[in-house]
Amino acid sequence: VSDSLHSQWRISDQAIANAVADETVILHLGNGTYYGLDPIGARLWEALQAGECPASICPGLLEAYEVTPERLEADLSELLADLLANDLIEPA
Amino acid sequence: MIRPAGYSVYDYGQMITCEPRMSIYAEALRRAVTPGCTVIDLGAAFGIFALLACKYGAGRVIAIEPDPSIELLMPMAKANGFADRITIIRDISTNYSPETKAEVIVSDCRGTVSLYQHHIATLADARARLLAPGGTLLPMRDTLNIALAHWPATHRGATRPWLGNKFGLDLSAGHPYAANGEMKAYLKPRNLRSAPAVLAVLDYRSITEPDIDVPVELEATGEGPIHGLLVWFDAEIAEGLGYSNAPGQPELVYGQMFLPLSGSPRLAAGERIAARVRATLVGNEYIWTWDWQIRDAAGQTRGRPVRQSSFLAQLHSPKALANISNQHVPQLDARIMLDRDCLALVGEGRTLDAIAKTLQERHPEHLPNYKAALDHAALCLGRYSN
Repeated sequence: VSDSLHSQWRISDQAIANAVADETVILHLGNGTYYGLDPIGARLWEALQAGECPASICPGLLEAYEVTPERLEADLSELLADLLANDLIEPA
Repeated sequence: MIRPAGYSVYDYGQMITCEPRMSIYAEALRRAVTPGCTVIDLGAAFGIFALLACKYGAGRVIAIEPDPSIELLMPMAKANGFADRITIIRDISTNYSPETKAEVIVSDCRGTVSLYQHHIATLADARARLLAPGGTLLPMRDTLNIALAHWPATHRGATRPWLGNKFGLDLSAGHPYAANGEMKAYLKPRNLRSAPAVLAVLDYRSITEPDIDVPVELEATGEGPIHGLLVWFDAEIAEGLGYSNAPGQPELVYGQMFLPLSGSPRLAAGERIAARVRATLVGNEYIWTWDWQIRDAAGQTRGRPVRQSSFLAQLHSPKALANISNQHVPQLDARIMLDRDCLALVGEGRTLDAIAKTLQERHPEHLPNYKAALDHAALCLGRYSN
């Protein structure tokens, strides 16, 4: 779990993101598929775009949401795995 | 598949008088049609090419068009004595299976540029299934061109309302959307700030891929702000017969496509915009994406790379997207229930009247009277008819 959160990622060349309010919609230009991110996913995407490692957003999210550190880390790791599997991010 | 365009009859009238487009198409048809041959007018609209094909001697003309505009064709065919030679297919061409292949297929399914909806796939399908060996496709080839453009009015239009309105309101959230929208333009040679480069050659005799992904470098011819990239096409309808919507050419119905450059970068003469331009067909529409960076005369980059896309001009709701994801669990609400029952009543010779009456009996809380039930049934079932 912690490996992916402390790794560096970059946005795939095929992914383009459009943020509306606190949510984000990503389009994969290669296959034309749309993906929606909730506010936490949008915060993760924003961090990845800025070149930050995913773990850097944990303190802020723990403050903003009632969630245990273990649960948050597991959720973020799962989301990272989804983003990677769908070719939206790649290892930096 | 080309979706019905939704043009008005007035719009079609402008296409008839759009010169030299119309005369070039007419001459290409006149040369291609041989006595008694079969012609397909693909995406026919009201069928001007079908009528011309008859006039030039075609023995059989099939006009394929899903839009209601095709209803105008038969009265016109009768008025010109061509009715016995024209067959109308009110559908998309990919659903049409011909008895015999055509010697000539003519179409103009472009939008502002040739990459428009399913234009490429439609022509590729027509070439493979509907065209006789050795037959003629009109148009033959389009070449897309791109150049740097100076168009201050559009820059002002995309910035002032959002960043500097006189009411003291912060409307800046709208600016990124306004700054990424592709626009229709009618620019002149004086608006160009670089020599043009070829973006793509679309040869309809062989093309299969609908998308493009092209690197270009455009060198500024003088000092000043660059507001965007201008895209236009040179059409070759047949060998030696063509027209263009380039700046300086007669204005055509297509216009040109303008892709704004964020911040309108100021370039010195000899500096370049290095861009990667992508047109990606997503669903029924193209997404244009232009990644760009300034390079100085020595080839060194200046400033940050910028990604712009027509996708960034669209407002999306993640909630609406969730409804089309494969994990979505649709709920049986009143609208779905009414449609389900309406569809289940189709068949066994029931009229719309009978369907509406049954629907109203079953759902008086949603369809309080016969008129409401009839309107609902007509709308629901209308989605399945031409």
